[in-house]
Amino acid sequence: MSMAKKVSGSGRSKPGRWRLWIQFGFLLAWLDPLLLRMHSLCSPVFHCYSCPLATFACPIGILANFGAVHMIPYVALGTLFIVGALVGSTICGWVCPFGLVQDLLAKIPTPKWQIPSWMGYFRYVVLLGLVGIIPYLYGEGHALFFCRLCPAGALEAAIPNTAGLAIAGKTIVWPSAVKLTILVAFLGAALFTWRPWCTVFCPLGAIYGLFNSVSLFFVRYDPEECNDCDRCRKLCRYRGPDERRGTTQRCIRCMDCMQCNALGVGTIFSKKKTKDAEQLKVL
Amino acid sequence: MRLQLFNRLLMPVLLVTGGVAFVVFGAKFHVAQVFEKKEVTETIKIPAPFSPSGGLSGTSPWGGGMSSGGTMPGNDADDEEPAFTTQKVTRTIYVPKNELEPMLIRQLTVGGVRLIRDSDAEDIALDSGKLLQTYSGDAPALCPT
Repeated sequence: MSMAKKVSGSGRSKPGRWRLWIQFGFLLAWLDPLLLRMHSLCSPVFHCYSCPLATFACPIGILANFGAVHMIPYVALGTLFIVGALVGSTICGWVCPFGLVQDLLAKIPTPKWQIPSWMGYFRYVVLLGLVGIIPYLYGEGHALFFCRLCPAGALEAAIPNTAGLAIAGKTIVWPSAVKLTILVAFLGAALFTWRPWCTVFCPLGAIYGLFNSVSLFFVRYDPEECNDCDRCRKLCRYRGPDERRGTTQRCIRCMDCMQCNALGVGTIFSKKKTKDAEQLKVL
Repeated sequence: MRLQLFNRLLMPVLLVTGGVAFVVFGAKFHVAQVFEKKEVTETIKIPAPFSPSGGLSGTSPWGGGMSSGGTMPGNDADDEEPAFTTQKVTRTIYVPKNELEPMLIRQLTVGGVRLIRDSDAEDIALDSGKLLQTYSGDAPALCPT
């Protein structure tokens, strides 16, 4: 029986305090401040490249569109491999603009509920079905082609482009009603839970989640410091740690759990002295 | 411990290396053939329809001949060029061009390229499986979705 250890940490963890500011900083980069429109380059985040202010191309859009023309998108896959292997789903928690939108909505003081952990596997259904199989078999014209349903595309591209046409006095092309409905549903859900899109549907988060167990940067769990108080699970809003503290795929590495000393920022080069090195697990 | 570090380091290094290789290959070497539809107008010459004039040349087998001083019909025509009419014909051709992957990314973002599928092959004189540029002239500005 382990000795009860002091539960330490109060307030946000040091890295976590800066998260919102870092997200805004990256948002400026994604919104093309220099009007470069570098759509030949793939960004690592979920950001529609039809947005009037998008700097780079969306990796999910590239995967879906290249699947529709039966080609392998080497540039997009290479970008995902590099970023995933380096930082994993840290991109989701610290860089993604659509995640930032949901985080801002979650700050509104409404009652919040947690989404069941098992719903996180639906992201892989979206990834394989709407991004992989349907584009490959039916092309970009199919109603279930991912970009036709994407809420990020509706928020960042369809609505601003429609507004732009209206302001310019041109013929207005209204966005798809299905797309707008999905956007409204997720924005509404973001008022009552944390990051509903990220935890349930995001195909890009599904990809990065697969890299969490092998990335160079990770959330380090030290069982020597842990007294099983479950504070990490209470602090985690996105169902990162589960009963075994080993599930890595749903973690977005927001680092809120690092208020507890048992969890910290780790790299494969960091040296943490423990009695038994094999107990050193990663999140 | 070193072995554990090596094992832990191996997979991310392989992934990063593979990722870099993919990006370089896609940006520099991955090429796809895209067909651009063009309308070509050609002017062709069509010989005028044959219209015989002045009857047969020479004397009639029944004795009636040409009046004196007359000339045989057709002689003047030997000195003139045959008559032609010009006609403009418009043909649709598909010009292949090679596109690197970064350019294809840009094209695909605006729905500028699509795959010819079996259901399209009847309307388009291209085999299914080929890529067709969907616009001519300036690329569209908005994504079709």
